[in-house]
Amino acid sequence: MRQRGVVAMLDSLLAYTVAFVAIGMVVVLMTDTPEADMKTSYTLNVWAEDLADAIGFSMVNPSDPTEAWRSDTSDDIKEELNTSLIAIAEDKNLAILVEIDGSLLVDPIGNMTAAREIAVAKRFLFKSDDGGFTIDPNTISVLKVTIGV
Amino acid sequence: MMITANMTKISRSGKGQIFSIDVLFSLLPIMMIIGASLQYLYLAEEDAKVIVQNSRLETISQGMSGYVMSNILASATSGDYDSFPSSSGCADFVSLLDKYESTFLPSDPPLDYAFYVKAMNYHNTSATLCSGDTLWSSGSLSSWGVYILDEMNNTASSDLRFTNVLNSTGGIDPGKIAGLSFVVWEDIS
Repeated sequence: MRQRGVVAMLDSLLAYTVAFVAIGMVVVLMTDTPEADMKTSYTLNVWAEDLADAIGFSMVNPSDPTEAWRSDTSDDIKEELNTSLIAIAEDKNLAILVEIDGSLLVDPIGNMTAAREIAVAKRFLFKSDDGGFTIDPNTISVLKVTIGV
Repeated sequence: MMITANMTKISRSGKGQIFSIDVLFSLLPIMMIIGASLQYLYLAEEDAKVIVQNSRLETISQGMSGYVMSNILASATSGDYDSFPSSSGCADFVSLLDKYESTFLPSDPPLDYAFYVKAMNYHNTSATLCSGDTLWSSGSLSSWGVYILDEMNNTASSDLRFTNVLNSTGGIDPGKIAGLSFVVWEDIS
């Protein structure tokens, strides 16, 4: 009789333990708000917008949006951009993809396919000729900046 | 009289006793649930305090970075800003941060916010500019090594923004990108 009582107590203890663990897991899963991921999303989006601004301002003069930069050659600007973007990607462990009208502006940096989260920013710029410095105000190019982490 | 006699009799027999071991044991999970609930409520309250505190610092940090960044861009398009990043251009950040800080009303209890801004030239990674004790907008820390949690009150928020490098005439230097890092925390030193 005494043995049966002990077994019943152990049995109920086991049942309650399982119940507590199960409930605890549900509570933890429900309350585990991905606050850090929200911060990451926000930061990535801000960075994408910042980079889109910086790259856009490097293509078209912000003080006169009808003019592209004429003081330098297009290839030189691309090279400067490439250097800056590689340094940023290395510093922040990012993958960066810059496209204009679907074509790559600079070589892809990092591995975008391995990114667990990405952010995209777009800017609309007046289209320039192949040399990069003659603006046609009737056409618009789409600058797309994708960054992933 | 009869009831008392019966209770005494039952207690002596060991059956129906209110605080018997089996009753206590059956109450154990209930007590555990109540205890866990209280503990959970306490932890949730503490978390809420931290979230509110961090949210305030995040807002301050983002407001500060937005204010400075918009100032830089507005000045860059007009071409009347000092070159950036450079030691001369960095001096302007101090006045910008002072202006931003002056928008805060005195709090109760009085808390001071310490601001820190640092610029990085990603086009030339060897050059890390705008760094120095003179850029502490509020509070004064003796050296760069003073990143101790006591002075940060265990809280800090940072914001990194990217913008164009400005040339010597204050215009945009196309293709070159710089970074501005903002940090804010409650200064209790």
